[in-house]
Amino acid sequence: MQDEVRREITRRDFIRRCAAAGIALPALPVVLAACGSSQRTPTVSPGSTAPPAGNQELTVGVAQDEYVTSGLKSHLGMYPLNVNVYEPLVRLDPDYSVSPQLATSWKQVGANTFRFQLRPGVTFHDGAPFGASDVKYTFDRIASGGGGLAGLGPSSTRVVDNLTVDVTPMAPNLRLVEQVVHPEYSILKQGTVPGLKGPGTGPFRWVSYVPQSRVIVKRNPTYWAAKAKASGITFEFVPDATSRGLALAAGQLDVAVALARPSVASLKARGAVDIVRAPVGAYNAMYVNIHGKPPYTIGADPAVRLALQTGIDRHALIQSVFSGLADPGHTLLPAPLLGSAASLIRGFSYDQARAKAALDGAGWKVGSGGIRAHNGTPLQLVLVNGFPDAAANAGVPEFVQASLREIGIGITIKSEPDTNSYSAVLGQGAGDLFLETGSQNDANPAFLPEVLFYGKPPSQYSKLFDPGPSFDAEISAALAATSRAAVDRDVALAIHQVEDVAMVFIQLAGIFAIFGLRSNIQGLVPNPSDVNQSWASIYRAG
Amino acid sequence: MRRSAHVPFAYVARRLIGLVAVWLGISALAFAIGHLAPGNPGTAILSGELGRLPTHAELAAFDHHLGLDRPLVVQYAYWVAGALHGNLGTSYLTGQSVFALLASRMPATLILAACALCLSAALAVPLGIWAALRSTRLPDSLTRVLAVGSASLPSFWIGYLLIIAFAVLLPVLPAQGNAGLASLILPVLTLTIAIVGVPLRLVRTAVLEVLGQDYVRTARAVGLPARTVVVRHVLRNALIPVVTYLGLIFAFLLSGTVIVETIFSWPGVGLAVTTAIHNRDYPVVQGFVLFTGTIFVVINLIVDLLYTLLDPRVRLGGTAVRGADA
Repeated sequence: MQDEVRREITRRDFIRRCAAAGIALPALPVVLAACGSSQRTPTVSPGSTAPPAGNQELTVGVAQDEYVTSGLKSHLGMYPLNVNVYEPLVRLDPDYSVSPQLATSWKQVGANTFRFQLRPGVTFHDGAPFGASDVKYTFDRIASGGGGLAGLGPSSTRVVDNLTVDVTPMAPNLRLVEQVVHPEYSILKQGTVPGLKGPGTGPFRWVSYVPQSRVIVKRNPTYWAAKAKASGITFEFVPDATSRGLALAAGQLDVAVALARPSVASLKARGAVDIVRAPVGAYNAMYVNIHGKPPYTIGADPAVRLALQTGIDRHALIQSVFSGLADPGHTLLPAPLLGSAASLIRGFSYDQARAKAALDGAGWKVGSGGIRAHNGTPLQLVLVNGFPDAAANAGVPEFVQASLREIGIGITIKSEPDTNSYSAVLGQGAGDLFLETGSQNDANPAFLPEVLFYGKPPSQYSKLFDPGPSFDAEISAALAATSRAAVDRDVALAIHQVEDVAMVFIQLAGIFAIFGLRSNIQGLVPNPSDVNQSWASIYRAG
Repeated sequence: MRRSAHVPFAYVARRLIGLVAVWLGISALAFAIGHLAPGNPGTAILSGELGRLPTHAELAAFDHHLGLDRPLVVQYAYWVAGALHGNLGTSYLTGQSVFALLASRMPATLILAACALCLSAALAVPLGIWAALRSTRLPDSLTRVLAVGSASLPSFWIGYLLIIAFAVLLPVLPAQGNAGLASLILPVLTLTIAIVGVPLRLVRTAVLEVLGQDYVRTARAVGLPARTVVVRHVLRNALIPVVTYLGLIFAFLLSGTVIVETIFSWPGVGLAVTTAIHNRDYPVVQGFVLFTGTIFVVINLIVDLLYTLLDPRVRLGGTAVRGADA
């Protein structure tokens, strides 16, 4: 029967029907190519550095859309993707210094009060003049939403005159100016909220926003400072970093933000793409649970912490996990933030012999399986990976596991998919080591040490990691210090406590953002804090 | 010889009543899954906002603002009552109506899923027949390789390869985004390659099985042309398991294209829901689960009813379908 059927339906018949049914569809790209549907960017001769003339629309590929667009926490256009529609009173420069923006100057006028002198002649995108009432409106709105890190309250902001405001945080906070560089403190026009109907003062103004697809802005022709070089920018949300790189290589993007490190080499090899790295603005590190309850008590042993500090080859980690694209920095803060005080932090070098000697000296003896034990307790630690999510630290837990195995420390990896589940584990103290990638997005050097380890008041973090009174005293001093030199010194001494003395903080790598640019794109000045990135100077040459 | 495959009303009524019960079960499950997952929306949203994990006081204020401090039963009752009125709530993150959010994102996913399904069927059926008719020969081996490859290769890897081939090396298609028909091709091809293997093998197996049946031999013996034998008698019966599978895979595609949507920045519902899950945006997650759960149930019902059209011998709920000439 089958033979008879086969005789009736010939090979030619079958192929013809398959083609009609769609098997020829994969050939469609070629057909489309012939129809000229390519979306490649026009080729520009390399080497041209002439500033742009006329209209110039650029496309920037950015990570996933994470805007909160509802309620008092909405920061559309400001955070985390800053499209330069709104501006704060002061800005964060790439060297982590504070520069004037909508405020021309500031000074401390009371024990806990700062006076900001506002820039005259600034207008919002709708033509309305900018003034002190807008600052008060913005800061009162932040106060309604909880006050933010600056601790703003409903009566914190006082209008002195149309171009002068006084700001007094609810609690003593001399780091206010360094904190309000964050784009969340960008100034809104009185009575508006962030969004298409909320005009800003920045170098770009709104065109459109399509959630999880794109943001389009255009040049603000009445900007108070140098006008943006590009006439418009489309920020395309491309959640997958590898896809961003491929879209850049395909000519669909002019700039790709935060490229996947493994793809950088192949992108460079293709040519027509330039790779630009930002200064270090983030860190990858582990914190040791030193106040844990059974079974998470091993981190309380200083010998184990010393072994952790000296038992991991950071250079090898950077080469193998970060494709060589990270810095073996030894502190949690970007180096420029602490200035010369950074030298107070010593850090640790890779020294496997020292690590083994420390463990031997503390009675941790190598057992039959290569894992050490002491009084019957195996030296087996639980490493929790999950901030901001497990994928962000991919590869690091496995490297740490392999490295520490060599000195007799066993690691059990516990991966948490997102901040939420990680936070739950952190709250339970259910781990010995907690792996995070954190970033510094303001100019306050005390921010990260305070958030992570300061015990006043106790937090989820400090309950596990607070190194003790010496550290707390240094942070308290830093928070109350008036001179920047004193702040730097106090913070550096605090980090010295947590990293060198208590050995709670185990730095693994300094992280920087990597931009991919078509070779004709120029003018990008990468900011180590991605949320403070300026796009006004970028343009297409030629 | 005329067929009249009609669908019994009582059977459909029973299935619809059952659907309500299943729907309530889905709603309870959707609500429970969201709230039993570790963490809460306050942690997700406020940590992004504050740059650190929020304090207990900040979390409590957030929960109170959103009514998350009420008993779970009360929250569930409010939610189900709203859902019955077409109100799935509003997103904590965007303030947008969940229904509006799903409605705005679903068309993109629907287009992607429908195109991938149609292309898969268009490939799987003829290739499966070809493999069956050339069983143990080269066509069979070729399609087996295709099927194994389809089942084995991860869709993200297929997606990257297609982007490299058709957007980077041969720059004829966009690498990502949703800018018209051209943007649809690579994601659809990726999904198709990922899902075509199973139905292809199903068709092959079913056709081989039916080819050995007595009625096929009889049809051939009475002089029917081979084309008629294959199309009317073999294919009609062989398609039943394939239709079942395609129905399930379509429902799966509506909820499971997140990887492809992410790689191609395709603005579908999968991408939106992933964001919602990360942020514990309960109303969106619950609304999505309820929505897709309902789609699953409805598609299953449709598939069951389609059986009667494909094979009149199928009995629905104990009621024989009349009119079959077999």
